[in-house]
Amino acid sequence: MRVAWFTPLSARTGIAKYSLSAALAVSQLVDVDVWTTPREDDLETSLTVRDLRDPRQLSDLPGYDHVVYNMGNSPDMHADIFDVYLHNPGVVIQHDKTMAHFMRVYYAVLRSDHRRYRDFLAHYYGPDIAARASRQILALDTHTGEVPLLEPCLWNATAVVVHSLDALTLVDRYPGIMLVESIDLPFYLPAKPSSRSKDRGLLGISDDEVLVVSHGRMSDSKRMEQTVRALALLPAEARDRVRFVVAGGGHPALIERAMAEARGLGLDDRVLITGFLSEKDLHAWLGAADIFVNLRHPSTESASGSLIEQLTYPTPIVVSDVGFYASFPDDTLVRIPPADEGEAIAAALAPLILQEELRHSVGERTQAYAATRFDRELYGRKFVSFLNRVDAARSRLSAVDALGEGLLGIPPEKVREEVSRRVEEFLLTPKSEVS
Amino acid sequence: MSHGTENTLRESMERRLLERYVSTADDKARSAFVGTQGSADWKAVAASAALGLWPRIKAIPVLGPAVYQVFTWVRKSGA
Repeated sequence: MRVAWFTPLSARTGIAKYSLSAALAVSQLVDVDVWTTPREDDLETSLTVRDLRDPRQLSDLPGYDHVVYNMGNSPDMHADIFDVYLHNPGVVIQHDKTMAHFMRVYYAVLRSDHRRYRDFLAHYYGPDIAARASRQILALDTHTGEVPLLEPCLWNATAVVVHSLDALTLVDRYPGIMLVESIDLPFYLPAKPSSRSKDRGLLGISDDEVLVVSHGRMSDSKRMEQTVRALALLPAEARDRVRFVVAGGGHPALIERAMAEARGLGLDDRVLITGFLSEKDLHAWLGAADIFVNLRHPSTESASGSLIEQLTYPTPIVVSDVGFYASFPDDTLVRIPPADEGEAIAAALAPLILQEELRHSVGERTQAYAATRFDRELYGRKFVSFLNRVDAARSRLSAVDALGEGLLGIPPEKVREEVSRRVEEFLLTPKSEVS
Repeated sequence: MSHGTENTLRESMERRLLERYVSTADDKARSAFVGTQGSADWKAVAASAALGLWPRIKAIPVLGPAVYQVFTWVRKSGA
């Protein structure tokens, strides 16, 4: 089996780290070529890398058994992949539960086709949402409402893979004809081994301090300000020992807001936001951490790449009780209500800060659980098994899609009726004639 | 196949075919199909253009006040 694996490789997106790990796991069982838009900060790989911008190379796609598209909500990273998907059906790996930002930028800005964007919204969500979208593009409104608009990632898919059961319900749009599957993300490529005690020293963390780390790109949904607020609510003996480090960067306004919160609470000497880090420096912070905090509200990702990364360490993790995070057993991740403003975060952190033994036992138990669930070989086997099932179901999906031939020549007001007629006829056809 | 399963399958197939149609139809056919043809967002476009141009029109000595008076008349007459 030959697989064309479309993905960004840029170190600026977490999807690249996951995707390379997944592609390598799959390549242990079948042939995998990576297709990407080469960028200066691309992660290195031993797999063959092909340039998706080259039309001559794209003419090779029919030679693959499966084309796999990694899709996420960042137009910078996925617009070129979406371009190829629109003309070549394939298996979609859907990383985010919403594509609203991607679709708005892709159609209304990059393709200057706001009418198509408006019509998609009208078709999927009704005229009111579409009218708001038009007003938003004209800067007369600020929001289209909470619609995921990931449907355009499905209609040309031969199958869809997500990474959590709650994301599965969003993509199971054509039950009975298009396969969907939730496969847990695999662990990322192994981090460079680092010395915990040496790293703590180099990072300026003393032995009696308790280091709480969040990482990844900062956004409102990651609840940094609420975590800072929680530090102020800790018992004095815990507050005096804690250091909270955000190992990552974000928009300067977000960083300033979190630091202003810390200054206002007299905690600015306890809080550090590092800015974007190299992989080596990032793993120095992760390896030095005593506790991780990984919150989401709202939760828009199919799973959490940063959580998978944290799970490689024997360190307890405080998370929001939502989506992918809620799929763990009770005695592993430490869960808090997603909308908490600080009280529950503080209540979860306090015992972990004060009791070293508790940190070790929870961290090791969580790591042991994760080691079996997110094993890379397991991912490879599940993914290839899924592709085999997609092969088996392909003739039926192709037969259904073929029913749409010629619809473009029919007056729009008669299309719905014609589709119903063709489907009815198809269902009355003996199976042997369509398989 | 039970009736429930068959209905689900029928809905699935119809949904897939209609979504593929919407994604590939040209502007005219698509907007007629989804019901946005002749929709009211031209008002938003016109309003946006007028708002953008108004500071320049206003600066023209005779035309500016005249446009304003016409606008006021249109608004009061409910046209």
